[in-house]
Amino acid sequence: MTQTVVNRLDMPALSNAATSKGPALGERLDLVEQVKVQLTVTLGEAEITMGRLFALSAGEVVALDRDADAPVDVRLHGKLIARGTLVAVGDKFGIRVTEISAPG
Amino acid sequence: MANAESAPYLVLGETRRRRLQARLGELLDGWYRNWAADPAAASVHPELSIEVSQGESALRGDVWTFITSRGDETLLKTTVPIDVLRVLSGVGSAAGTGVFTHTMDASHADSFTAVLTERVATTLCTGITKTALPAAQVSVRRIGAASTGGGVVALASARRNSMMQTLVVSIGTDKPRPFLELTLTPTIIDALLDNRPVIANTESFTGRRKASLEQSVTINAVLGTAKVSWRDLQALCVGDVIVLEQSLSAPCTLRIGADIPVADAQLGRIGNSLAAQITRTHTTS
Repeated sequence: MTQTVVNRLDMPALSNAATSKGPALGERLDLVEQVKVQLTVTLGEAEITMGRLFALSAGEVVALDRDADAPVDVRLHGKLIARGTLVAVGDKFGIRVTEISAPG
Repeated sequence: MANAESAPYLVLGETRRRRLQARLGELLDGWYRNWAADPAAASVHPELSIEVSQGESALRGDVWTFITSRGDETLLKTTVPIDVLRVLSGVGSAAGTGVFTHTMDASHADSFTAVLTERVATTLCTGITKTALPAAQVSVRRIGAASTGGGVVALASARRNSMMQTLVVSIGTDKPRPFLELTLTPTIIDALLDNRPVIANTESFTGRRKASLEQSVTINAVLGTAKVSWRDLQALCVGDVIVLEQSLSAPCTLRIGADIPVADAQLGRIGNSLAAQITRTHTTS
């Protein structure tokens, strides 16, 4: 019968306070190219009282703060990154981008 | 009289903590008066102040720990000094309680104190849990050293759960002395607080509620979401089409802020403005 020796594994104590730091990874965008991010498309906002909020029920209409033909917002983690118009792509909604938000 | 000090401001969870404090104040007050059957003894020390501590108190002297359970579930941990009767009497001697009606030597007195302490503590533990969970079959057991009891170990790890509450009960008029420590698990806290009036004065709450109904909140109409790669996002240009995950027949969602959905709605227009007609409200969280 083969005998396997099992030894205890001692992990070294680590600390962030390294005495000599190597080069940072830098903005290696190639590393994250395939990472998926979730965009959220918002149509507009409405400001209502809590009284009306509690009374909301099916059939009620809430007017939004946008014109019907105004572009909708494309957001990434709440931050506006683009605007566009609503289109249909097959049986799905789509957004044709009309403007890209300035960075910052 | 049980009382709770008022706070200059309310922090998150403070309202619930104070409700629990007041609720246990009522319970302990009733228990104390019922237990100290001698009206004279109760009237000498009418103040029973309940304080909420962030950690465990340093109860003086030898203490016993009691675990109250429902099946395998621990509901309550109670720690009391062995001479709880003397603390309750507030006069340094158990004789002041009226319980000791016979003269006995010191060894018998100590033994008798221990027996009565256990009985008093057990009655209290049962009283609290039965008040919270009237139909529950609960058991109270005294455990040995605090570090060796399985129930205590389990409770100590559960203490990291912020929903646990430790209450230190002090008794006395001039210089209240800690005599009891209660650690309550979320189950018994919920049972003690639920189905009871949150605020005795409904008028004041009605006023607050009415005032809050005028507060405005912002509702966001969210059409849907799309998952794109970081690469595509970097290359996004005017004219590109982002395909959403939602079908044309899917409703949009009305949200408070970005995260809290309150209703589904059908997109439409009122005059020249975009509008959403509610199709379903999210009545439960």
